[in-house]
Amino acid sequence: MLALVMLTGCDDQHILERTGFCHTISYDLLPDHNFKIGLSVPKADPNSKTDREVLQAIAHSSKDSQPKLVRQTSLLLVNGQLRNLLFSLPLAEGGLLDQMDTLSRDPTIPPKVKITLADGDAYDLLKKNYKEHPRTDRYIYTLLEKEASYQTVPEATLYEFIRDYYDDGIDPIAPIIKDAGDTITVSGVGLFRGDRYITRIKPDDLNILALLRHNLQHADMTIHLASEGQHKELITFNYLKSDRKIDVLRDKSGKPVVIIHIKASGSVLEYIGKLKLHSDEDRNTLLQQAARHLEKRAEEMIQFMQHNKVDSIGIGAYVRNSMSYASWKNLDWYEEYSHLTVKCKIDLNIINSGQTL
Amino acid sequence: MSFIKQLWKAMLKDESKSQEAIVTPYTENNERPSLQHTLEQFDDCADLVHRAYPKLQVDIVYFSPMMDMDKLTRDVLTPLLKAGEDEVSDLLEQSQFSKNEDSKQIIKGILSGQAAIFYRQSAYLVDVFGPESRAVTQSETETVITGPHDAFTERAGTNLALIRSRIRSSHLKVIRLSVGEVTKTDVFILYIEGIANMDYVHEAISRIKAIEMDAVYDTSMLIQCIEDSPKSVFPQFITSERPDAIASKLVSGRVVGLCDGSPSAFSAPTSVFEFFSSSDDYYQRWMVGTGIRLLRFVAFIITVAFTALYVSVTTYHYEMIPENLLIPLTESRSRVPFPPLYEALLMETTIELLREAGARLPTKIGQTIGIVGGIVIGQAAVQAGLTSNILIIAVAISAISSFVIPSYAMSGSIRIIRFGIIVLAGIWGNFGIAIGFTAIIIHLGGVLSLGTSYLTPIAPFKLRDWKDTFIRAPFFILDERPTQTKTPNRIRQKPRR
Repeated sequence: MLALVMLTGCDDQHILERTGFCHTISYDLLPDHNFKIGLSVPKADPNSKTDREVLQAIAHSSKDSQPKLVRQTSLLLVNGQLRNLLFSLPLAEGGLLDQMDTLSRDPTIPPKVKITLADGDAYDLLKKNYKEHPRTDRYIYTLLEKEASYQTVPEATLYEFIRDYYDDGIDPIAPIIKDAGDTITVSGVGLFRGDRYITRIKPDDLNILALLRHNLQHADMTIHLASEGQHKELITFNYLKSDRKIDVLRDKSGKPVVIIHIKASGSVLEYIGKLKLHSDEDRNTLLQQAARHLEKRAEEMIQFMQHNKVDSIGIGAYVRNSMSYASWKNLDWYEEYSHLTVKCKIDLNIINSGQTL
Repeated sequence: MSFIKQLWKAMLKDESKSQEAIVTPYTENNERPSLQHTLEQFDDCADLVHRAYPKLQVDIVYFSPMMDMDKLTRDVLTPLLKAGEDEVSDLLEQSQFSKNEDSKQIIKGILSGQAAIFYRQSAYLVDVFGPESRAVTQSETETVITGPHDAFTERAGTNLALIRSRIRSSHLKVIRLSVGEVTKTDVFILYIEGIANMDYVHEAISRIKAIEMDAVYDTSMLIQCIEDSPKSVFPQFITSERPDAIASKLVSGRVVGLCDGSPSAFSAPTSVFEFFSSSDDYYQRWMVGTGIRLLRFVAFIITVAFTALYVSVTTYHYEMIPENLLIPLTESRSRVPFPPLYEALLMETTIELLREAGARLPTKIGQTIGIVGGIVIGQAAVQAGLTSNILIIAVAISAISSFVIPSYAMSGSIRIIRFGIIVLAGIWGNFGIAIGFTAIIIHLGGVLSLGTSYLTPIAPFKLRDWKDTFIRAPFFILDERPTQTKTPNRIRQKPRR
């Protein structure tokens, strides 16, 4: 009786040193429609030369790969410390819902696990060791974490992905990373329609995407006003704070017109150009120029999204809120979206211009 | 389970318990006191002195080790020698000699350190009590940085003096009781008339009177005999060596008990939170006092739960560990051959061994034990791969935290509880810790101190007491006595204008 009481629950032990904490899982689609699943498990054995194990298995599904992966390691594999999921682009093009469903069904997988797309083979990216950097899995994770904290690359977690997928009027996004020889770089942000990867935003335009998608807290942003030959004019803000508002109006024929208001303010860190920041007049001119420039780029980006029929900044949600549920249901949103008039109004402000000579 | 029950019953039904009294009392015959009878009673007592003055028809009987010899010579012997035959009866009429008609009283008097004088047919008692005793020194167990440093001694008389010198009020009442069928130890119950609730005073007195035990040597032993829940792990009356602390308990309306031969006094009723406050809190500025008091509650949680948390996290809840800590933790665990539960119990036992060894040894050797324990065992155990460094840190922090609690009795109780929580953490993880804490709280809810709730002011909920329980508010806010004492005189301070 005593033994029975004492031994209750003893089978669920995960004693640290006997457990392998999966850090990153990579998913690739093979030509024969099977999956190649890669697993990176950090190791804490002081006697071992490597600091992680990378396992690989070819299977029909992600859970199908589990026994095959377990057979290759002495550790008990657990998912509770999972940080990153790496999907190859071809797999993402075919839709990620099946994977997401499996992942969100497992209660040990944290909803905060990151969703990342890999340019090229995801397993090879994970397998490769980068000499000057920490363990590859940790390297990718900290890289994305840092980018997200400076709000240049949007954070994409399992929770957010699924939320955006099921939410009406917004589509998920996920950062794309690429092997660049000695380093890994962010090569853009992938835009999804539903769970399918459609296209990407180039790294130079990520600032604009961030500005359009949510409110920024303390971002850095450089605006190139002109860069033809010798003549350069650019302005860099830091501690940029922005506030996004989306208004849905109706034109005379009853069609919705979307106006995105963005109020941004920051302190000037760098300005190269002819204008003088300490003169009120010049400063206003500069701000007007910069705002018009941003508006132009933002509208270009929206047109690009409309062209690809991906609603990554969530305009649909505002349009939906402006009409009845029944009429929203009857609406072919993506069709409507591609012809929608979207205007962008940006209001820039300088909190302080720093030290000027 | 029935086996354990039977064993328990067998332990309780000890045969010796069924006997009415443990020692046969002195023969109760109210005969007139006689020298002959007295000496018969004290047959074979080598320390009994019998001085006879046949010329004066005077006999003096006393226990020499209990006498203040100077006083005896000055007050009794010299006057007697100087007095003529017919002057003796006049001398004995003086007020320090009390005439006694009862032989039992005479024997009691001799036992409590008085000298008995037999003159013709009558007997007198004279108080010349004054054995060797320790001087008032600093408290060893309850030191403070600021504030008074004197502590109680083993003499109840000295202790009463220390309290009376602090509370110069005729309302401070002292009731003398006697405890111990053999030892006849003096126990004094103190209270302030008009502030203390008389119900509690009577309750304390009746409980002490109900003790039928052969001997009581110390206050902490006495309170175990009068507690509401003697089986509980928690002490239900606070004891203190500090006269200033005891004086403050009296003034807040509590009942205080002193036991002769014990350097500590108890105060009742007590709530569990009183064990976390120290006189220092009141002598420091209020913010400092509040901070230190809150720190002690943190220390309580650390003592009880920190090692247990290590066990549960390393055994079950790897998800809870931050990524940066996970690898070092796993690395330090990787050479350890035991599961975390046994590893933790091993180190906790070692620490307790060290503490106990340190407590029983003279200070000089105690330091050596500290070095051997701290450096040799700690360092070597990690290098030998018996434990992980992080566990050593956890065990050390919880051991240090346990000594933050000012009351040694409470600190001991908490250390015992900790072992239970560690085992629960090893069985059920964090769920086990939660079960343990729930059990402690349920238990605390059921414990009474002199009939009042041990969890006051949480249950019953008395928000206005919190300002002197969890925080130490500035004095102008502390204008009322604690509700637990049910004092008839609540206001302790006039509002400031």
